[in-house]
Amino acid sequence: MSEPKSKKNTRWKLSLLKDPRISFGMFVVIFVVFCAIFAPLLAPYKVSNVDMSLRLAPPSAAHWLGVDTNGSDVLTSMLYGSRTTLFVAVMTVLLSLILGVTIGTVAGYAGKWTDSFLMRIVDILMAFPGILLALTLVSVLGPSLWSVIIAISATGWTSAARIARAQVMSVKERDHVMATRALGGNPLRLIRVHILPLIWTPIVVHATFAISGVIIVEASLSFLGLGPQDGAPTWGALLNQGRSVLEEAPHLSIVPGLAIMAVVLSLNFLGDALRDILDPHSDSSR
Amino acid sequence: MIEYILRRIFALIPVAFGVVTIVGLLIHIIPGDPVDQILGDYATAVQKTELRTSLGLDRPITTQLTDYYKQVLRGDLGNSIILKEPVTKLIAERVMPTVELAFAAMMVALLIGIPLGLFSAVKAGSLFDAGAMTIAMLAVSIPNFWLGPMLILLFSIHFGWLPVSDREGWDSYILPAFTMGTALASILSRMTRNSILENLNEDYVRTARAKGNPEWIVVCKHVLRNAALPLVTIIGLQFGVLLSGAIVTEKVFNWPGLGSLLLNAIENRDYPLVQGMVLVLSASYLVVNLLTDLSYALVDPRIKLK
Repeated sequence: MSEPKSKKNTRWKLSLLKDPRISFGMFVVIFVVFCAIFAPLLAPYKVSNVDMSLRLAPPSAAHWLGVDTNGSDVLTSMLYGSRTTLFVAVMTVLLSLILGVTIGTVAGYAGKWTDSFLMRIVDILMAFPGILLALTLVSVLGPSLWSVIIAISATGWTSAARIARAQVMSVKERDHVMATRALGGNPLRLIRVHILPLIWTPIVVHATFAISGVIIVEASLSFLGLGPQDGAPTWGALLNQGRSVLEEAPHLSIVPGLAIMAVVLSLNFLGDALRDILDPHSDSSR
Repeated sequence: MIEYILRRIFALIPVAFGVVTIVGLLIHIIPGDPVDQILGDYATAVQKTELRTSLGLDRPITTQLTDYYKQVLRGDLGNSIILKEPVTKLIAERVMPTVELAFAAMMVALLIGIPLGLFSAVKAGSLFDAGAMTIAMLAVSIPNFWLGPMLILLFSIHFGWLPVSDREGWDSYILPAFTMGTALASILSRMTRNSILENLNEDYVRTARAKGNPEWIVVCKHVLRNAALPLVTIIGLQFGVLLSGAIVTEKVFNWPGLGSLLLNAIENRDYPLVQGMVLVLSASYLVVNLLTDLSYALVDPRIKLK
């Protein structure tokens, strides 16, 4: 803490560059974001371009990643699918963070019965194992892009809330917060200026892991036939097609799975590395 | 201990109440009329009225909820709309395949994860350790819906050693068990390794070594026992992951368990069956979490004081 800020900053940046997990993770993430943004330019065909005579054709010069069960080019679907994947993941995590950090901060700051009440809600939502509630909510709301986002956020915010609450509870007791409270500072401003800037580290780490978690859940839902079905191709839906034609067209299962794994692995690397760098005291074993 | 158990059970009551409320309300968040959704466009007005009455949808929502609480307390989860049988009976018929699969997956995880973590910890810093931990890190990122098809592609289609799908004979358990167990094995191996490494520097290990015990006795008899404590919690906490994994894995392998029953119910818009299954699965998750906490308190008496 006593060393000058500039020196600390350079060391922080150096450790960022040196970590192979960060370079690998950033490379994959930037590549996928690039594919998503420039999908219309990069895609060799149009999404609407269908040729049933080529159905299930293996990878070739004309179709680098082969053709799917509907006669669409797999590379094109993968490129457009990266848009769906990233959109769902980012929107879900944003929604979960806004909801979770707000509720967690209120619970941690207010304490007493407000805290108990809000934390009981968190307990109840956490009582639904894994993807069960998301699965059921999508089936009830109908399989669209936004119902997938809402369904995953419905339970996703709870972990963000727990983290924010724990952080606020510890920061609340610090001298500068106590002083501001004693002087009669406006609680909203106090939270915004004196508490939130101090609690973002674990939340950023959590968000990194949350994005990879959402990608898996969305792909699982699509694989189970409950993903977004508004016409946008998804990686999980390709895998679902591949399931019934595993023997004739293994490329339909291999390609999207590899893409999902690469993205999830990179995000987990980034999360691990960020946690080690930003939060050296935390337990690195998950 | 009894006071601790009672306190934990008591704390579950509001959570269970909340879960039943959410499940009871599920049918009301369906956009539009749930009866139209279930019966489709070709139902007659009489059929619609009948179903509405039998589901209780013609009564006020508070009455419906209180009726639902009473019904659940009696152990009655209603009847399936499509299969026309009690939900509890349908679930009971499908429970065993899923339990067997989860048990097999847990066996895979324990038999691979713990020895791998143990050797990595004893040989910490070696090539074996680095290799095993890298593989574990990669394996934990492989989703079930991809590992399953890849295993089928390799061992069933390419080599022809194992059946592709369905539950027939002991060898049909192997691929689904590995599909579900691999990620858990990776987590367990990392946890075992860390837990053993932490214990290796303890005083009791030095004492055990000083008494002239061979290293393998020190590790297996003394360290492993202490290191096993956090593993109990991890195994318990992974139960939810295992349940989600079962839904996906059963779809991959055409397995006739609870996962397939749930997916069929969702596909057929058989909402009473969906509600009943969500309730049963969540309840079992709560019970497993409770048992995990209690078993942890039993082996480590310090927990009760918190």
